Amino acid sequence: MDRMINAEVETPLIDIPTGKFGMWVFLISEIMFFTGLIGSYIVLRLGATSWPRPGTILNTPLLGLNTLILLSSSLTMALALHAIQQGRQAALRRFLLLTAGLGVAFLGIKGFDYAHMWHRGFTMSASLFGSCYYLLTGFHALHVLSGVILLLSLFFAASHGRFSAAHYGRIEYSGLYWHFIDIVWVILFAILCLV
Amino acid sequence: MKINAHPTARTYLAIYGWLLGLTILEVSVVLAGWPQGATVTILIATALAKAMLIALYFMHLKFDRPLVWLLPGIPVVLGIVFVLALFPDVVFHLVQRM
Repeated sequence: MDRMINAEVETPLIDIPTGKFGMWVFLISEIMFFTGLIGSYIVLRLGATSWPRPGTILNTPLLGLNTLILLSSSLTMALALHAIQQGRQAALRRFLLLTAGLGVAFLGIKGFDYAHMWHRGFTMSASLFGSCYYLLTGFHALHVLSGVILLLSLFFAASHGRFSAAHYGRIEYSGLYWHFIDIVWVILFAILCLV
Repeated sequence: MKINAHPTARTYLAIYGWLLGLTILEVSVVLAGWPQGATVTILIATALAKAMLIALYFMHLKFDRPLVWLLPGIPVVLGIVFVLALFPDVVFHLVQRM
């Protein structure tokens, strides 16, 4: 019990809890990482003599469904935080598991999408668009996978009663990461899959 | 709204409704086959609106201190500058090809 309380104690740094500040610094590096990739895609696309319309190659309704799944997972993650802020342990576990499940569903659909596209000849080496599509969505999928592992670790910690209405920092900071993944997909979906 | 206040479950559900509506709008615009210029404008505007809604409400930036805004704000501005800085090179190559 003492160990749990010590792990949750935070030193305020410019009025921001240390854990939250650390997560934001990590997210800054992630923003720069994805900005570099997305920026390169925009420049490559604008400089290309011809570029296929994504709708003619990609399965837009399936990618739209994946977007709805990830948006739903953001809602359940927000509700998980809301639940523990009110001390509702069972609701926290339920929403964490639901969020992880939606993340797994997203990855499953992405895997199906990759297999389908690959079978139709749209591979990484098929075109510049193919390289950009697999690189950007692949890195994003790796982040979703990391998020799912993080959520499952939180679920097991919650099952052991590690969180309470007074100690929910790890849920909040992990939520920031999960919502960031959602924002990246929202932008990728628009500029890579639709435009 | 006081700083560090938390949104209610009803607020989260309302934001989720907006996000779903904007996503349906995006897919509808693409499937309707509108002119490229209008489609791109609408898609970028809706994507930015969705990103803002998630950042403000789900990531609680609306309820955080202004200092927290600076943390994601700086790399976002740097990213935009990075893309804009490469535009002259793109235009140069396009003009060369014409």
